[in-house]
Amino acid sequence: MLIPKRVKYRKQQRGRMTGIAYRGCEVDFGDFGLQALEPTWITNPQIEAARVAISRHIKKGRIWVRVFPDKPYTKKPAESRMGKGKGPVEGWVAVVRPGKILFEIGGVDREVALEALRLASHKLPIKTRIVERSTD
Amino acid sequence: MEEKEKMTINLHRRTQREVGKGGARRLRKSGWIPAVLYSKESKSGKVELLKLEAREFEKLLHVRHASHHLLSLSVEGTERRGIIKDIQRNPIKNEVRHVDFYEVKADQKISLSVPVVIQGEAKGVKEGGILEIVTSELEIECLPEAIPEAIVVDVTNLEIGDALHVREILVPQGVSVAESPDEVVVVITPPEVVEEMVPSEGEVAEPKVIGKGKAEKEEAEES
Repeated sequence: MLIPKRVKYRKQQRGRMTGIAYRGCEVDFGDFGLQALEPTWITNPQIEAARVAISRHIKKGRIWVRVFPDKPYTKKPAESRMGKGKGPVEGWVAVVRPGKILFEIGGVDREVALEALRLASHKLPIKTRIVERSTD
Repeated sequence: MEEKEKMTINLHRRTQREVGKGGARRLRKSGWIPAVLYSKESKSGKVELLKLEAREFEKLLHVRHASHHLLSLSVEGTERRGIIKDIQRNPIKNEVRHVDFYEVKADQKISLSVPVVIQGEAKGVKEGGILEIVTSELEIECLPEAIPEAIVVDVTNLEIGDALHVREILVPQGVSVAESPDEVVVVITPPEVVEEMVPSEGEVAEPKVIGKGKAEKEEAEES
């Protein structure tokens, strides 16, 4: 699963997810892409599940994963009292804002690509749409 | 070369109330798009603040390759020539938010990006390879009258593993490519069987912490 190789600090503050994505919102590498329509944290198991769903369906061709889970999130252990500092790191997430292209596919037929992205969209916690590379 | 149709855009000057963030939002609500016009001679920060009708502009963009055409800009009646330098869009609604126009002179070379259009089916693709477009837009230099609609790239003879570089592309007369000759435009990659990663159960790798965090400080204090 995707995880950073090295980080500057072990834990991060949660931050905000206001606004929309102005970077990484166009299909730049492949022919079709899956675009997020809602803000969310996407965890690395979710990214992996979607990637596997695509790769099982297309068999050949190329996949580009345009998001990376570089934000650690923490969780306090169950039944622990409040205080005593921030909990341990529970997992890694990618911060996604509406408009962000999450996955791209290239080198496969249109029908295959659309179905693969549809399957991938069911592994994600948000509404998405399939977009095509603009020709102009 | 076929005769290019003349495209005219009607531009109006923005009033003081239509300038800035709030002004631009008001404009968009009432069916206009904020725009700017500048040229090579414009000093930095000195741009003409304009507006144009959103409907009219969306119609124009439906014309193929309109964003790389030489346009006739009618700024409150005065005719000028220019190109679209940049279009900002809302990635969700796909509405145009802002347009940059660049005024050109007939005898002055301009640089702009034009799309790369793939022609033919590559031999390598027939054998199962994947056609990968590395550069979908090329930066070119030419006179305003010689702007091509697109750079056509013939890939018929490419086999698996072959790449087409900028130096191998045939461009129309009077047009020069402003990118490095070694830049790859198209490559035919071998068919890739998408491998599945086996998730490692149990031990989860942890990233290396390079900053001096709280734990390290505590360790230093203890010692």
